[in-house]
Amino acid sequence: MKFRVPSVWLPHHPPEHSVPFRAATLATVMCGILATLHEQEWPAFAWFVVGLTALGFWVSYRRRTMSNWWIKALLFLAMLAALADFLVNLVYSPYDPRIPLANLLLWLQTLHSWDLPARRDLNYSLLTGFILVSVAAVLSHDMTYVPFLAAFLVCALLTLHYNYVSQAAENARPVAAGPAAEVGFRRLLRMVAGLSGGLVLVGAVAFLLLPRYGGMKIRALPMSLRLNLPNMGNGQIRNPAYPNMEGRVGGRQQRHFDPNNYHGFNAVLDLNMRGQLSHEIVMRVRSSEESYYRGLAFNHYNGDGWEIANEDLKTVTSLNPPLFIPDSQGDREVVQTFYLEKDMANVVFSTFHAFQLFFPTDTVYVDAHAGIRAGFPLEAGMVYSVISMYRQPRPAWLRRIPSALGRFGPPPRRPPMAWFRDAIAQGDLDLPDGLPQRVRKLAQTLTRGMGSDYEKASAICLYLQNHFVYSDDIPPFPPGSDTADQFLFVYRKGLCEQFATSMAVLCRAAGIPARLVTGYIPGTFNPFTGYYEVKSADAHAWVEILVDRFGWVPFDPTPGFSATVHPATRERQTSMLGPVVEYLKEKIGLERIARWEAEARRLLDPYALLGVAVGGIYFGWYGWLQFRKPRTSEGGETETPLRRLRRRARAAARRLLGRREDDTPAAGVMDAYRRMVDQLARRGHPRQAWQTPWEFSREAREAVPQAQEAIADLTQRYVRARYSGQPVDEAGAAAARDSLEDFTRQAGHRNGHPNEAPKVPPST
Amino acid sequence: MWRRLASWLRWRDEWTIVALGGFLFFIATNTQTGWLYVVVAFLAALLVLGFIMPRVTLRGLQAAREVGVAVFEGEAASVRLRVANPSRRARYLVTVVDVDPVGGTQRFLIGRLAPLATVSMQYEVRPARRGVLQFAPVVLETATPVGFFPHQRRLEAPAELLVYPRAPEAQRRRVPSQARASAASSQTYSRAGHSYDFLGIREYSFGDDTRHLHWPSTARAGHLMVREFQDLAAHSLCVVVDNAPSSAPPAAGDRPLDVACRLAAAVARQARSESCSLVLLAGGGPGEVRAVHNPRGDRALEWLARLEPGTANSWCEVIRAGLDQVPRRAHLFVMATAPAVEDDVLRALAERRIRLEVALVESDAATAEAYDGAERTLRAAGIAVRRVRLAS
Repeated sequence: MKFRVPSVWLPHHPPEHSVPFRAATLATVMCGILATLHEQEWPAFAWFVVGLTALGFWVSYRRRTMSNWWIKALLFLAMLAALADFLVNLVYSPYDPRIPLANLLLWLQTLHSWDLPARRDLNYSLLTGFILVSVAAVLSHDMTYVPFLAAFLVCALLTLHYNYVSQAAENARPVAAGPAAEVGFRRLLRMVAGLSGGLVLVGAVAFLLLPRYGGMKIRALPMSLRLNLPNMGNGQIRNPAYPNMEGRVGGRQQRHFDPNNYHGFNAVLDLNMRGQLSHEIVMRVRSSEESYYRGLAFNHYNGDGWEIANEDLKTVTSLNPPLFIPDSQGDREVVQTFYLEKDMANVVFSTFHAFQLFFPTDTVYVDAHAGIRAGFPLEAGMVYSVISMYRQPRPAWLRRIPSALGRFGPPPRRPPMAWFRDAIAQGDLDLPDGLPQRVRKLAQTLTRGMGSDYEKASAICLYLQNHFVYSDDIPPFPPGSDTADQFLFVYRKGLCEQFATSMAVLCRAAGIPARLVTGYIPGTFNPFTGYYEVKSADAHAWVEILVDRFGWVPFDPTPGFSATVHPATRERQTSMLGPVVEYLKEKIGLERIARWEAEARRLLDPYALLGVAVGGIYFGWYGWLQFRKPRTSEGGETETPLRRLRRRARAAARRLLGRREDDTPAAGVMDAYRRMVDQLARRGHPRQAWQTPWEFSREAREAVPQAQEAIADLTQRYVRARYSGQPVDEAGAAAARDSLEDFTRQAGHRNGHPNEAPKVPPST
Repeated sequence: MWRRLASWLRWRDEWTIVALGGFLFFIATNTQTGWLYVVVAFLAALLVLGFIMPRVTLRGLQAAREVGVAVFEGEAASVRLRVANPSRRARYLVTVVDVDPVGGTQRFLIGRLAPLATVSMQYEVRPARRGVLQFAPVVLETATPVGFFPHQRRLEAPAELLVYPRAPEAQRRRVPSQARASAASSQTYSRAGHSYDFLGIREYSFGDDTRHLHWPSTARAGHLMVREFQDLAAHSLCVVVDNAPSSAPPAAGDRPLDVACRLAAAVARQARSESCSLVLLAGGGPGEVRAVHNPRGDRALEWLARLEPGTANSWCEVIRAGLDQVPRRAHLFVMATAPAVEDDVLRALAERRIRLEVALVESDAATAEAYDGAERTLRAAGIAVRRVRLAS
């Protein structure tokens, strides 16, 4: 006896028989699966999932009319197992659930593909495909996602189309109306191509108009799995690109420049090291706001370089993320996730001040200048997140805070705060003994009479930005010379380190505690991935000054950069047009192309004008002549050569696109008539330019009396199709083709009745 | 409007896309994932295209409907729909919906409508009772290409189908022998009923021979008057259809009026086969009658097909209002739908030597006793009565 499950348990939906619909759904789902697997870098089970899904679709199709209760029961158990696996993985990776979630979705889709009897189930699969491709979007860091997304969109369009076809055909009788009414594969492809083009155009506009609000409110921030790497050096700076510069002693001897690694991420910053940094992407950053990524701060200047004096490393430990960084202050939150693409020094980058750190170790080190270091060099592929609390400086308020030391200005009204005195004690005001006097005089000139440190620093910064040139074409400065002095009075151009050094030295000379900071500028925002792509060449140096009663305020004196380094929020940005243009400029060099275009225009202008004039005169004359002298084409049409050219171009385009000439019934009728006229012309009865179709018909009937009826019928159909304005149905086109066949058969017998046997020449 | 709103609010695929897009936008905003914005943008584009394309697809299409002129009750009538695409752009997946007047809905799916092409569809309707069937506009609908935001366009394709009452075979009646005998004896006349035994002058009615116009009386009366001849009146059949308002209650099946019309059709057919003159009478507006004299061809059937309830409450009122249109000595058939008998009407008919036969169509509108009483009264007056029960 066969066991039957009550229908109450298994609601019945009519099975879906459409193979194209199922194939399109499979293709869509596959695109989603492959995109997700690609973003996971093809895990071991990848092809297993792909194969099982394809097999599941096939089995679903074969068993679409059966109840399949036992398959459903097995699937239920398998889904429970997948859920259990997800929960276990979540325990191992509680701070980045994306990968376990992606795997769970992959398995659910794979299992679901084994039970797709009805249209509704296929629609669920399509929805899962959308979710999978969205998961892949979340995981994607680069542009390799594009082919998967493009393929997915085309397949999704096809699936939605077939879904609608199935839906529409459910309650309606299909109308059989000949070959012109059939939606063949070619027509379908053309339709989908057109729709995809429209989708891309409208999608591009929608993408540009989509508002982007400041987000990153979700606190489950991604980070790499916990690493059990050994702590090396208890927080000493370790840069694998500059192994001999570890520590302070003897580091100055290293002169090898690594273009993929900025030499400022070391314990010492050699200001005479020269080299061109590469454009290799070192990290991608997802940030709620656009900001500089601060790495290290140097406070000891010795004339040709900077060092970190009084490191006073503090150890920050936590068994579970996040690690709370001490002494953070601020009122504005910046959330950032760093995806490292290259091996780097053990410097942890973040917006100033880092507050919470989601890092794959339980211990980090914080120096006295708020620089964060890991216990080991950072490796490519590592992910960490930082929440920073940024204190927004308000210039109007900062200008009202009197200078703490009152150098070159009015004397201070009250003593500075304790932490200001600590900074002075740590050497943040120190200058080398050999600093030339003209540097101090310049500082005095720039800041004389100013009452606040912020005002003085702003004046120095603007002076540097406006009077000096950024250039990487400078030789190392002479040994024993002071970098700031050489930059300010000899070369007057330099790199960001020279600008920052000069500002820090001038600030210190003016009695403002200052330090040099190295890190990265925000990088290029990729509006498609949502990441800031930070290249090696984006490494940068800037300055922080200490303002009494406020704290450290960053300044960037390098020309072309904003003087005040504040995170720029992307909140309420209503258009992506700017970032997209910027990104395209960066990627495909639009500026260069624009320059070439301008150059070409400049060179070609006179010739182009001449060409346009000559061409205009020639075509005007030619067109006028052709307009006045219509000719008869080989098809019997009276038309100007220009129209004939256009018709031929259209025909060529049709052939190129694979479209038949008789695509429409009316075109079919006209084509049949043209063929008849061609045949008559070959027989020595061409249609004259002055002849109307009926005049030609009379002449042709006299010339070929055995095909009278066919000629008359074709002429009548042609005139109706061409001039009446009435639509022609498929039956009319078929009748015209039949008449053409009759004509061809009957006209083949030049003499006598068509039923007579053709005359055979006597054999010799 | 409410129905449209309700159909909009019903959960559809496009709402799923809207919900998914909103959710992904929320995730994108919270994770700053650029690719999710791209996916959301494409979902938005999908919705925009899904909204625009159905409207573009239906624009400019033309529809026409061809229906035969008339059929008899219970016969199939062929309806042909033609949808034309006068543009140079093909249209895909257009559903043609036609609600036929009988109550069925026909749906046809056109996979592709080629440029400058016409597609025709055909279906049959089988009207159960007589009347004039008016067809609703043809509805074209589509949600091509992706099934979002379905759009409808109603195209006027006016057509009407006359449904003639089918005369029951068993009800075939014979023309009274007296009339038939007269017709047989006057073989020299071009038409039965033509004789020169002058009977009188009466008002012209449609169908009268114009040769019999009496011009002096016409001049005096100010409207057309004709001479009436004795034999012509003797060969006349007259049918009064009782179309009281109660004869056509809103019901799906047969109504008394329909049965009465079938009986009248039987008489009309008989009159035609016997070449008798015929007058059809029924109630019209207040105090008026609808009449047709000597209908040619299928005009009697058409008249019966178009007959709607009037304001007269009984056949007696119809006869009273239209007595002058009943030829003297005519044979009068009354298809009564209510058991109403009025003596003065019977007397007036007797005075005009009009022979009366009554068919009583019984329905639930009156009790059996009422029909019995009417039958007794009529039989007492020497009038032949037949009772026809309405099939339930």
